[in-house]
Order: sequence, then structure tokens, then C-alpha cells
Amino acid sequence: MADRRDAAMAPDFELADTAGQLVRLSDYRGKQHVVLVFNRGFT
Amino acid sequence: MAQLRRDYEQFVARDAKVVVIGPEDPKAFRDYWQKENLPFVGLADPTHAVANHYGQEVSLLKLGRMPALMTMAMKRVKNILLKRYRSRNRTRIAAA
Repeated sequence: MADRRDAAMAPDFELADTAGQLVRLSDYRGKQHVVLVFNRGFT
Repeated sequence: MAQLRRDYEQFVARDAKVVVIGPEDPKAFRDYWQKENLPFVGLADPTHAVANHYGQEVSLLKLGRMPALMTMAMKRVKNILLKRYRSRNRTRIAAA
């Protein structure tokens, strides 16, 4: 991941979604605004 | 999460993709998503690697969870690249 202090852009990351598909933040770059919500937990 | 669901259409209307990152393990995350039929993208971050990288707190109070604070980052391609805000009661839409 890029360092958020040095990067002008939101740091990229890769995580699996609920269907098991890998999602990268950069997948949306140039296509769509992205709202990241950091949830503290629901269980 | 309920508030986010209520506001979800407003984000969609602004051509924004809502991506929720949480600390649960992938199975718990998937089960919850299916049970609640949530419309957003859900990403499990059980090691807190992404949350830590974005400077998010993960500690809990002894007597329960901290208020459901949500910190949001809105990424745009050009000008506003990373924007955060917190809201105790409402999910607000950042100016894009």
C-alpha cells in the first residue's frame, strides 16, 4: 500500500469482498467516486 | 449501518460507490451481508491493515462499543483526493 502521508491520492489497498472477489481501490480510479466507510463492527 | 443504508441512494445519485470496510473475519462479514441484504460493497479487514493504514481506531470501550462513529474518505480522481469526516448521528455526504 502507498503511504497516506506521502501520497496525494487515497492509499490503494486490496481486500476480498463478500463474494470472495478481490477489490482494489484503484479499480475505481478514473471511473467513479468512492466513499470508504470504516465500520467499527457489527457482530 | 442502518443510517448508511437510508442514505445509500443519495450516494448512488451522486455516482459514488459505497465501500464498507470492517474488522470481522470474512465469513462473519459475508453472513452479515447476506442476512441484512446490504447494497454496498463489503470488505473484511480482520487484520486491520487497511484501517490502520488510514489511521482508524479499532479499540473498544470496556462496557461496550464506542458510538458508531463512521469515518469516511472520499476519493476523487483529480482535485479532492482524500477527504475524511466523522459524524456521530448522521452519515453526511462530502462535497465532491
